[in-house]
Amino acid sequence: MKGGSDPGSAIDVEGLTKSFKTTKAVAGISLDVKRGEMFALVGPDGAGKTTTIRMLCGILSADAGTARLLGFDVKKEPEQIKKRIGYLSQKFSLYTDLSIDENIEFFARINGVKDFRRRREELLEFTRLAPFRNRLADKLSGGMKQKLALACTLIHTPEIIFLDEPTTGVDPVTRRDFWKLLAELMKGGTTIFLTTPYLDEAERCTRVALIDRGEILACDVPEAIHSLLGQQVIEVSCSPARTALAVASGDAAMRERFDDVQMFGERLDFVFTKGSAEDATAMIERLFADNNITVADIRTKTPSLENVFISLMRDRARRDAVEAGAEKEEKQW
Amino acid sequence: MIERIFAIARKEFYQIWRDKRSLGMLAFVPTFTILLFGFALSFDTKHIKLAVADLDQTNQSRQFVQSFLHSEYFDLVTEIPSTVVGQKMIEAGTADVVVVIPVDFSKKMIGGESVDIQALVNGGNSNVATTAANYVGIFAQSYSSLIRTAAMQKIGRAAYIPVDYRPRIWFNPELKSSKYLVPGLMGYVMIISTVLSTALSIVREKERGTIEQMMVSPVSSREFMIGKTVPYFVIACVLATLIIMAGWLLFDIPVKGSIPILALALLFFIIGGLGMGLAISTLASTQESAFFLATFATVLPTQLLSGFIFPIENMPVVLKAITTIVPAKYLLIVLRGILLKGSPITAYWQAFAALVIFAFLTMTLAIRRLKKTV
Repeated sequence: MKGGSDPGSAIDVEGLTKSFKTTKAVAGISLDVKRGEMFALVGPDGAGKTTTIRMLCGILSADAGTARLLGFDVKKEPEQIKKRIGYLSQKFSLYTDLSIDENIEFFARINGVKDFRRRREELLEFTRLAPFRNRLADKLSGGMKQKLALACTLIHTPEIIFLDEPTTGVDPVTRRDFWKLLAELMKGGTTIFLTTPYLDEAERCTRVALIDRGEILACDVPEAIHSLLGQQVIEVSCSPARTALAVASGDAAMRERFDDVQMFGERLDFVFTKGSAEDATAMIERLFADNNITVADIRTKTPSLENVFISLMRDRARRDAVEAGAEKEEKQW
Repeated sequence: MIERIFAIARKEFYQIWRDKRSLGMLAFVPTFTILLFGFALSFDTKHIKLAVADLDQTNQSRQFVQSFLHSEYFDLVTEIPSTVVGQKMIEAGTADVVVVIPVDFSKKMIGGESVDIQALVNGGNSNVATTAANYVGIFAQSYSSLIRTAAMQKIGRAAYIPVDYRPRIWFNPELKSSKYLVPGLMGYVMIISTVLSTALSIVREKERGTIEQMMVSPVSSREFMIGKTVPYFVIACVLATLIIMAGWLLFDIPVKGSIPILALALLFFIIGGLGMGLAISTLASTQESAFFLATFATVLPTQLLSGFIFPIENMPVVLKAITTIVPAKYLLIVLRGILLKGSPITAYWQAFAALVIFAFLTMTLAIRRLKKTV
């Protein structure tokens, strides 16, 4: 069991697997998160993010594989672990009929925090919830609820915190505040393991793992993932975008030249690996001019995590289709 | 460990206090039912509305009517001229019973002949009808024995009544139904405050996801279970005491038997109820299904099959057999034994033992189930 005793390792996962009835939610993933890291598990809904985080926290038991937190085995030494971790679930799970103060006090007491009053003041200050301390949790806004949940998660000063989609359904202002809080926590040495469906959030983390259908597609620092596939991207703002996509998809030469075309609202991202960017740009401009598509802006950029992720997911889907014996006459985007 | 249990129990008390629904269920239901069953819903038949068609209008006939009115069972609504009017009154509901005294009532009686009197009874409420018909019979009987004794004395012979029937009712001499109902009410209230409340409060934590926070924290499933049930245990004990007090002060039901045995019986019943609530909470994942399960498994049987309202002796064989597994039945036997009769434990030890078994079985079941789920 490699890395089990590695003192620098906060989370060490080997071949973790979990199935629900017929679906494989997590298919043998392995991860190694160092102490003090802010690690993001990124993937679409149903990719296996929540199942993974729940197995790490000991809420779900794995079918196979091992997970060690801070050197302790999740299955065999849960008591050692429970004292040292905090978990923020995706669904708000505090007592809505208790006030902010009472919620924090309750979590302090069940976690055996003796002198919780000082710690509570710190956390209320930290989350700026102090003015609302006597308000029932039910009467808080979504963002305030999330901050309260974070405060309850942090009451016993855990060494690792697990955050399951902490910013989903939270307004943009709170989302920014929340990330500031996380950055401060990381500065204080807390290891943060979070899941998110937003790739832009993952860019702020020290390392990112891309997960889809229970498998890790890539795991590295965000910059490395950007250049993972040696891809380049031409970003085209055009209208009508939908027609533009149809025209590009329908053209055999285009399909040969580019690896992928991804649509983001009124924007098309053309992903390619071979040849020069000038040549590719010219090709797109020519095609769109012939088809009466107005191009507002066209530029070359390094691929975003989003581009890489979508390419990886499509690669995998293609591979799966070939493995399944499907007849693939030509490459499709 | 104590610290964590205490924290959970305290939180639970806060929540019960703030959740108007559960508070209402715990406070309103017992109060409402005790008032309803104790006062309003009485099975005693008194003040039956009586109309008399006295076609004879003699001293004898008036004396006969008077004998009905000496008791509180009949209230004379009106005197009417004919049977036809009486029929209309019964149809309209203004009279429950119409007694018709024939024209030749006194003439026949003086002549030593037997007289037929007619009683029309409204059968709409069979309970009232049966009692009313019985009462009319009893009054007529006692009136005729009075006449007979007088007649015998006149001719110088000692009164002779072949079988003199004088019933004496023990433990509840006035046959008040509240004395019968209040102990049953206790079982009903205990079931609601233990089984239903515990099951709902735990399933609520499942529904809201707060139980996951417990699983990630150092709280063990045993600590969680104890912390969650302690408040309902306390509430059930307080309610039991209050109902006994209410029974004593409002309905004149003193504790005739041993108070420690009464307390022990209630304790086992409460523990059993909490165990049942815990077991149900492991089966249900929504409050609706928990409510449904608890109602069908415990609340309804307690209401219908425990002997609370409907006597078990009068049930069909199948239902009678089912009552064997209704814990409240045994509680009622013990409670009625202690409260009304003041009998020693030897009189109801089987029922007492059944309560101990109930507590033991449900707790074992709950602990087993919880180990698997939480």
